[in-house]
This record gives sequence, C-alpha cells and structure tokens, in this order.
Amino acid sequence: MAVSLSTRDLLRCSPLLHIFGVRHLSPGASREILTLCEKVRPDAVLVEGPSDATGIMAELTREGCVPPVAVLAYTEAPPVRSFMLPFASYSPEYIAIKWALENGADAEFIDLPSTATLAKLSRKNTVEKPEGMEEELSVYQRFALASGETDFDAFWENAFEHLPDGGYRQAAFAFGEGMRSLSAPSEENLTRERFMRSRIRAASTRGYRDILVVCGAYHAPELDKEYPDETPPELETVPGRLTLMPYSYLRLAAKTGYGAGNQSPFYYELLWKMRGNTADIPAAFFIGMAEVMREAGSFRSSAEVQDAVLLARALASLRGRREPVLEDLRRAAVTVLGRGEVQTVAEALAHMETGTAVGVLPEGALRTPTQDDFHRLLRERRLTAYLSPVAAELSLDLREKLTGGFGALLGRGRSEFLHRLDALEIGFGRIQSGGQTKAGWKENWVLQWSPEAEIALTEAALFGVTVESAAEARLNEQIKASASLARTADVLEKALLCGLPALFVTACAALRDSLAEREGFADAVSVCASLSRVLRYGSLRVTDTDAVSALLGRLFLRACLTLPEASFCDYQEARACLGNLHILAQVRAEHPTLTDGAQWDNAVAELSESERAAPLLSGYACALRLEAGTLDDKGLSVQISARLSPDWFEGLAARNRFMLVSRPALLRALDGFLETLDEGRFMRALVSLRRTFSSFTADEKSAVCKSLSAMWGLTPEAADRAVSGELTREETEHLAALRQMEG
Amino acid sequence: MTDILRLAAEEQYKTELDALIAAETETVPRGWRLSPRSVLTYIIGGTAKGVEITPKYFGNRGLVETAVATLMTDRGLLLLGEPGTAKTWLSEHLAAAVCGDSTLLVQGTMGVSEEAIKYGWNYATLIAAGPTPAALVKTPIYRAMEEGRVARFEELSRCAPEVQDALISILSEKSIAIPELSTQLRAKKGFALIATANTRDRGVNDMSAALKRRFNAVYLPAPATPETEIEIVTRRVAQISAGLEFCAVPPRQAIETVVTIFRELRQGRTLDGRETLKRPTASCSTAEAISLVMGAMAHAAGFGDGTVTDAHIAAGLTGAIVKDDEKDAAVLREYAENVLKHRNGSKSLYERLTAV
Repeated sequence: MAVSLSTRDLLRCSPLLHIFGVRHLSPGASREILTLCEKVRPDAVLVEGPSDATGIMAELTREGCVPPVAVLAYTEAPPVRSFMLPFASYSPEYIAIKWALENGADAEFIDLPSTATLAKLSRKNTVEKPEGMEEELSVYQRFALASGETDFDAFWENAFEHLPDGGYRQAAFAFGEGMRSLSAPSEENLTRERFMRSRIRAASTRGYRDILVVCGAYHAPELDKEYPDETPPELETVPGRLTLMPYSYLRLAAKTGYGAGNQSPFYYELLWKMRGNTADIPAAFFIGMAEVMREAGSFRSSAEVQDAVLLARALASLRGRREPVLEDLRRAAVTVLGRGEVQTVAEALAHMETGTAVGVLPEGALRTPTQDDFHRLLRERRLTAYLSPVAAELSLDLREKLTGGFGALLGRGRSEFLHRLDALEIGFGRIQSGGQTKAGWKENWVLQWSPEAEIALTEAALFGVTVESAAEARLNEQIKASASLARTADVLEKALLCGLPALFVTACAALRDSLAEREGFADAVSVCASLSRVLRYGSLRVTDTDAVSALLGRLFLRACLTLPEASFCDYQEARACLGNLHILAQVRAEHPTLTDGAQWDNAVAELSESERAAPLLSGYACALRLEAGTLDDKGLSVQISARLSPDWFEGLAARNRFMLVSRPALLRALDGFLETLDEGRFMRALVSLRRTFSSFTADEKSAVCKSLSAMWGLTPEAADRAVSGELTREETEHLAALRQMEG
Repeated sequence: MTDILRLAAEEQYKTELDALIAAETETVPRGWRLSPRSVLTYIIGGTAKGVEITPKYFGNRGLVETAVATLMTDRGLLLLGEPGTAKTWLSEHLAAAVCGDSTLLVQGTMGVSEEAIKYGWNYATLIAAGPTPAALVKTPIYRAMEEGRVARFEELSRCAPEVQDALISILSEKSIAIPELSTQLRAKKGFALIATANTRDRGVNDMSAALKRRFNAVYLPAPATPETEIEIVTRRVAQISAGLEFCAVPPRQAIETVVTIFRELRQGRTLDGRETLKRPTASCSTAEAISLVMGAMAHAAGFGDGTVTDAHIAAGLTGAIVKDDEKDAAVLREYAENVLKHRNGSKSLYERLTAV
C-alpha cells in the first residue's frame, strides 16, 4: 500500500500518489516524511487542513515565524464560533509544508474549508472542534489497555515514536485501518474524506509527477481508494475569517478536546530534535531536569542523572519496550531525582514535559482587524514604547481640562484604552491599587508586554473588530452571566473606567432590575461602595450620574434596614461586619445628599443601644454617635456603666483612638470594670484589650500611658519604665499563656 | 501443619515460586532465580502454567515495577512510608522472589554497630590464632555479597548515622575491605540491598545526603480505596489465622467496620467527606487494622463462640488508637460521639466503646 499504483494510473500517466497517514503533532511522522520527501522529491504536497487557509501557508513558513503557532478560524457574526489548528515545530504538516515551500513544490490544504466547519459548529451549538477522533478516544484507550499499556500516550509513543526508519508509515496505515474496523465512521468523517478525495483528484489533473498527501492516520486508508463517479460534497458555509496567531505549549498541553492533542509538547519536541539518536533522549531529559532543579536551588549531580537513565532503561525493559517512553522517564525522575517524592521534581517535570515555549509571528504578519486597531490606538496614545517585555510604570493624571485639543485628552484616553484591554484580559497593564481609592484623578499602571498577551489579543478578535467593540461585547457578556449584585456593580464600574456610556446604561438598568430587595447587609454595602466610587469618578469622566445616585440611595437604605439583623452575630462575624460598617459610614460621609441621614442616625442609635448586637459593633456605633455629636459625655458614661466589656471597648477604640486618649473618664471606667473581674475573666479580657491596643501607634500608646499614670498616681517616668522596660520572666510566661489562649 | 510460628516467604509460597521457575521463558539475570517479569508477577499476582499466583502487594503496580527495576540496576532500593504500609512485607517478598532467600536481614536499631553490617570477629579464635579468615564472623550483608543474594536492612533511619554510612562504600563499590586480612570481599552478581525506613521517624536519624544518593527511593502510600484496604486485611487475617490454627472465620462485617474507622481517623474526615475529624497521633495503618482484627478473632475464639462481636472490636480499638498520647483518648471519644453514635449499625459499638 506504500505506493498507489493501478493500471489506470499507468495508462493515463497520472501522478504517483504517496499517502502518508500521521497522528498530528507526531515527531516520528515528521521524521519519516522528511526522509520520504528527500527520496521522492514530490512536486506537490497536499496537507489535511482548511482548504481556504492555503493562502496562509506562506505566512506559516515566513522568516521570523517561530512555532508553536495556530490557524484561527472564526465566524464574522455573533454568536462567535471558532476553532484552532495548532502547529508545533515537530508537526508533520508543518514539516511537509516547509519542505514544499523551500524546495519549490506546490503546497495546498485539502480538508473542508473553514467556512464549512464553522457552519457545522454554529449548527451544533457547541464550541468544540468536531474532530472525528473525539468519540473514538475511548476506543483508543481500550485498545491501549488491551495491549498492556497504561494509557494511549504511552502506547503510541512506544509503538510509533521510537520506530526505526520506514516503519511509521506502514504502522500508521495499519492502525488507521484497524480503527476504522472497530467502529463505523461518522457522517462528518465521510464528508471530509469525500471532499479530500475530490481535491486530490483535482490536483492529479495538474500534471504533477509525485504527490505527497499528509493526512490523519484514520483517513489514510480511505484517501487511498478510488470511487469512480464520485462528486464533491455540497457544503453549507457561513462567513468567517482566518488568521494566524502565536500559540503556546501550555495551551497545547491543555487542549485535550482536540482528539490528537499533545500532553507533553516539550518532550515531543525533544524527540524531534534528537531524532537521529533516540538512545540519548533519556539523558537529555534528565539533564534538562537537573538544570532546572539546580537553578531552583536543589542540587542534583551527574551521577544521579546517570542512575536515572539506568533506571529508566530497566523500567522500559520490564515492560518489553525498545526504548524508555515518557512514563518510564517520569517514574525514574521521581524515584532518583525526587528521592521518592513527586513534589520535589514536579516543577522540573512540568518544564521538560510541557515547557514554556510561546510562538512568535513576525512584524507585518497576518493580523486581525482588532490587532490593527490595537496598534493604531497604541500609536495614537503614544504608548508604543511600552510594548516591551520590560515592565515600566506609567502614571496618569486625569484632570486635564476638556478645553479642546488632543493633548488634553491624552491622560483620559490612555486610561480608557488600558482599562478596555484589562476588560479583555489581555494582560498588558496592571493597575496599582491605592491610587484609585484616595484620589480618583490619578492612576498608576505597570505596563508589560508578553507573548501570552499577544495570544490574548488575537483571541480578542472573537469578540469584536475593534478594541472598543470587543471590550463592550465582553463586558456585556459578563453582565448577562452575572450571578450577584456585586458582580454587576463591578461591571458598572468597569464600564465607566472604560468610557463605554452605552454599556454603562445597560449595567445600570441590569443593576436596577436585579435589585430583589432581599440583599443582605454585606452585599448591599459592597454595591454601595462600588457606586460610591463610580460617583467619585463621575465628575472626571463626564457621565450621567442620576441613575447611579438613585441606586445608591436605595441600597444605602437597604443596608441601614438590614444592619440590625446582621449585627446579631458572634465575634468572628462581627469583625467582618465592622469592616462593612466602616465602609458604610464612609459612604454616608461622602454623599450626604444622596443618602438618608435620618435612617442612618436611627440605625446607628439602635445599634448602640441594642442588647442583642455583638458588643464590638455597639461599641463602634457608640463611637460613631460621639463623632456625629448625637451622644454627649454624660450619655457616654451611661453607656459605659451599662455596656462596658472588652469587646465593646475594642469596637469603641476601632473608630477613633484619639477620643479615648482625650477622655480620662473612659479609662477610669474601664479600670474600675477590670478590677471587678476574676482571674479567668481578666485573662480573657486581657486578650481582647491586647488586640485593641496593638493597633495604636507609639504616640497614642504613650498618651494612654500618661493618662493611666495620672489615674493611678504614678509618675510618668515610672509608667514609661513599666511599659517600655524589659519583660520579666513572669511576664513572659504570662504572655506565652495569653498567646496560647488566643490560639 | 508445621511447628514453626511464621514461615519465611520463600517457604510459605514455595509452590508458587517453583511454578514460576518452571514457566520461565525470559532471560534470568545472573544470580537471580526468576526473570524480572516473573518477579513482578509473583508480587502483583497472575498465573504461571496453570498455577494461580496470589497477589502479595495490593497497590500501584508502577511502584512495584520501579522496585524491581531498581534491583536490576546496581543501586540500593529504599522503601519509604508510614508505619504499616507493607514496606517490610514487600522487602521480604522481593528478596524471596529474586534470590529465594529472605533471611539475610539486618534489623536496624540504636544499638547496631558497624560489626553487625560488615563483619565481626570471633574473639577467642582471634586471640588464639591471630587474624585469619576462620576468625571472621560473617554478617548477613557479608553473606549476601559472598553468595550474590539480596540483603535486607530494616529501619535504616533508626541506626546511628556513623553506622548508616558504613553502607556507602558497600553500595558504591560493592565491596567490603577487610584490612586485618589484607583482602577485599567483592560482591557477586545478584547482590542487591533493600532497605526500609519509616517516614514517621524522619529526623530521628536522617540519612546523610551521600547515602540517600545511593538509593532509589520508592514511597509506599496507604491503600487508596477502602475496598483495597478491606481486601488486604481480609487476606492477611486469613493467612495469619490459618497459621495460628484459629477456629474463627475472618469476619467481613467487622473488617469493614474497622477499616472504615481507621481510614476516617487517618484522613481526618468521614468517608463521605462531610465532616472533618481530629486526627490521633497514632498511625492508624493497615498493619494496625490487621492486628486489631486478629486480636478480636483471638478474643472470640478463646472466650467466645468464634464469632467476632462489637464487644471484641471495642476492646481492641482503644488500645490500637491510644498509644502514645493521652489526648488520643479524647480524640477517640469525640469520634465515637460525633460519628459512631449517629451511624447505622455502629450503635452497639458506640455503647461498648463508651462503657469501657
């Protein structure tokens, strides 16, 4: 079957067809194809791939294009369906195409056009590639197990990747035939084979001498056959686009849905690179691992590498394998280099199996409209200098007045651009937090370009043709998929930062509609915080803020009303609640006109009087009232005598420490309270007090000390000495006991 | 029935080993009695010319393959694991299969000196006639090297580090220098060393880096699933009780109960994953479970009617769990209160346990 030669061929002097079935991403196949090409020197190479991608072949082999790369096909109109065809440096298709273009042979893709495959995807309503091999994967697994191997990859590597020259083609053909006999081929596969046969027939009339056909092993037996009077199939198509994008080994390893995927791309690359001397592969593998481990700080000697090689060979011979496969190498690595433990070598293994390679496309290569838009905006915003792998800081000032002229809008334009990229998860810029909450007009970014970002940028094309429309589509999707109010509020904020007014309105409406009046305290506060931030930016990023203000009012009210219930909790929950209460107070302070003051005062007063609420919270509420002036000193002493406890004191101190320092009456009351406690309760109180005072600054502590010393009749120096002197042994023991109690 | 309490592995399974030797078709390495593939079959089970080979080790087949492959190379094999995970058991059976002799054993203790590893002297002969080969007292490792067999070293990490390091030159040069006689013993082909070490003893006497490097370490985990563990316990209990000539039948229900309790305490979580539990400091290992069931059976056979009841299990359970630490008693009590009390079928066990 190696050469398809029939009388018909002889009589008509048609070209010699060399059908070579492969498994995608198989270095054994690549090796043999190269040998075959050198021997036969075909003048046409037909490869299994979307026939409308033939135009991209030149790009694939252009100087500067470094695999892994992938052909990406996607529909023009939403809902966007897409599929990818990855090529690694050791892909047989890639090797064949490269040989053809370097040796002046014609090359062509002969599988269904991408438009047809996309049509099928759109009909199927799924996003997976309809590779025929998928359903049969379990058949492969069973086949492998039956031949005494642990899994299909181990079986394949042993049976195909370590064959001496000449064996692959026959073995793969027989394998394809075997697979076909196990289960009936699907409709899809039959259509594809019909189409490919028609393309082969068409090529045969163009006067070639030798035609090499590289296809999946499953299809090879059918492409070899002839069906007289067969016509090409009718195909349904949808408008689509094709592009080339850089790819990564990480993604290759993760793509298990693609039936002939590659779990260990870097290892397979090693198989390809060392195809002349496969016996040295184990050594190369372990040396690579040892290098990674040495760099990470765990030394591994060459002697250990040797021992690992020996063990790998022993393991292989135990299984009757000609040469060690990846499974043997892995096990030997764990035993020898890892000394029995997997974690020790996990990183190095991942490095040598999966690897970190990312492909590169040269400048001027095929680009999606989104990529073009990206680069144009980059130039307009004067950010091209930041397109480098070196991280650089960028500080943006958004206060430029809108007095016309492009320069004035630069800061805001940059901010919006970067936020849009962030919404698309392109990973170009990272905003430094801290700059946002304090001053809304300042943003600190760290910009760094990476190959992963390049990949993400290409994929952004799936959402829209411009950066703006893609970001908008992406965020729209998030609104629809949002499961919580807080999430929608996040998108609202993002819409504002991205400068997408239409989306802003949508998010607002979504927020309003999903208000179920059942939100808990925490949720309500979280949304309030988001909305408050939005309003803070609002003045800078001119937008209609009325809708937002209304929402804020509603949610603030909701928070006030749910506060009592939220406050009936234990200490741990109270701590979380305290944080939220603090935020709420902030919101109230920032937007006095938008929030209901009466309700707020009411809620706070109720909290401070409540018997059931956690003392931490009622103490805090008391402090709020003192601040607002709704509680005077007399009222405070009433509260103290009624409510004082260590937790309550902690809550009080959490709000305003200066107040404590400046009210000796408070300290006196606390002192009196502590005197009444027994040993056990005093220790517990001590734990709580320690926690409270640990948040004080040194100045505040010394001020408290002064007050205490005045109270107890000590001189300030004596008090100082007592506090800042060395701990006695007894005191150290007490502290240790305290720490144990705290747990 | 023999008088011996516990037969060596090669004697207990003589039929199986003979069948494997007879059915041998592959090359047998020098000094070995079986080919590596047959050794593997012996350990994980299979058939040989119609004779059924029972599995000795239930667990990841890959681990056993690594162990056998290590013995094929010239490195030592180190079996690591928690107490009770069949390290000694596997070491014994590997030695029995490879060279037919599992008795060349050195037991590592604090008191072991270099004389127990390399060679000793018969002092009477030494003083009378001076250093001669006749005055030499051969250690198991010495004999293993001399005859090309497998030597076993148990509890390597319990030996003093100086003594452990005596193994370094043995493993790298495969020879013992005897300066008093101006000779050197060179190991014959077929010599291998299998050592075991407890991970719980880590830090007691950690092996030096140089020594670690000369071993291939295989970590034996606890049984992965309850079913595997139940199978292991059932088989082993059947074997032991046959040896002890008990009249009690291995109780399926009791074994399941014990294995469940042990697994839950070991993992710190109920089997359905819903509740987390405190873990006792004692290792609730498979070997411990086997002992517990054996104890219960002995109790039943000796003082009962041969059927193992919850009373018998409860009697042994406290002793199995509360070994080192007082706190483990509280852990067991908590477990009984939180889990056993509410579980179907464990009510009577709970009552027995709390009555004790």
